[in-house]
Amino acid sequence: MRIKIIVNWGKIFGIIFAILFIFISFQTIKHDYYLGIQQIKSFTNVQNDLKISIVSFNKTNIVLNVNNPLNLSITIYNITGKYVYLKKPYIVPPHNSKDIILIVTNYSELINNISNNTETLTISLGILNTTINEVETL
Amino acid sequence: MKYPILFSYYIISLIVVLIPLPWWYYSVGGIFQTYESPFQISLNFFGDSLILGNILNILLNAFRIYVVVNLIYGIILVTRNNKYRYSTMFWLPIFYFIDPIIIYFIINYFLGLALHIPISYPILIIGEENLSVTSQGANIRMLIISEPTILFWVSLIPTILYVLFLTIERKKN
Repeated sequence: MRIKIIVNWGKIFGIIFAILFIFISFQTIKHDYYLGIQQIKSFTNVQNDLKISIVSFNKTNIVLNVNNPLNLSITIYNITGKYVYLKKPYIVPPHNSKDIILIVTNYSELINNISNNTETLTISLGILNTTINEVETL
Repeated sequence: MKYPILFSYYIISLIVVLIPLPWWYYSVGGIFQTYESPFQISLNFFGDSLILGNILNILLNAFRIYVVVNLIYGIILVTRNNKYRYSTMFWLPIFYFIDPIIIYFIINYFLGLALHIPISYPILIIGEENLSVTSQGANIRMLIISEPTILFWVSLIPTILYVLFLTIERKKN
């Protein structure tokens, strides 16, 4: 009795060529693996590098510095508190920092609130099709 | 030739597989963007192209080679009047309708429960929808865009031809 084995040459050659291709390609991109891991790690630093710091503070306005570590521009739509507001939206270009000016409406009340830890700011940011609304205590 | 529909299924499949263009565009708030097909992918995160995507691309291109060899094998057999069936190109576009439903369940139930973050991810196959996430006093709203490219619609031609072939074969018996 003879057993007839049906060989699917398409699948056999397909797998051989695919494995050959993987083998050859991986030789050329060995560095990509390490670079790729480093790149992923650098994204976790983005949260720390995205900073808003106070530059100057006086009776009429507060100057804030916004640092943008991203490869995308960040739009600051609004920053509002009880006694402060943003005059106009600002666009911070990629890998750049920008000073933005907050208008103070009532200086003594603002100082009072800050010392009591009750002055909260609502920050509204935009990155492409993403909008972030955050409440922070000043 | 005994099976002209099966033959055209293989020929059009081969053309679709060899075109090095994406089938689908997917974006999460613009922060994560991808152009992809079953045979290639480009990933973009915070405006930077992901290097790890290159490794993924090699595996996907290997799959492209595997499919091309199988399609050529199919063409050879069909021209010899053999009713050889290789249905991969019938299935691939269909996965694009099934995937969003799987993603919906993974994000809402698995990710939402694991991270303890209420996520309302929409069931979205084609179009635009808003996703909103609330975490640590911050509310994040993202526009999800999911759109096929022209090549995706072309890739449906082999699917239709394959169904046509199967129904004709069924009628013969």
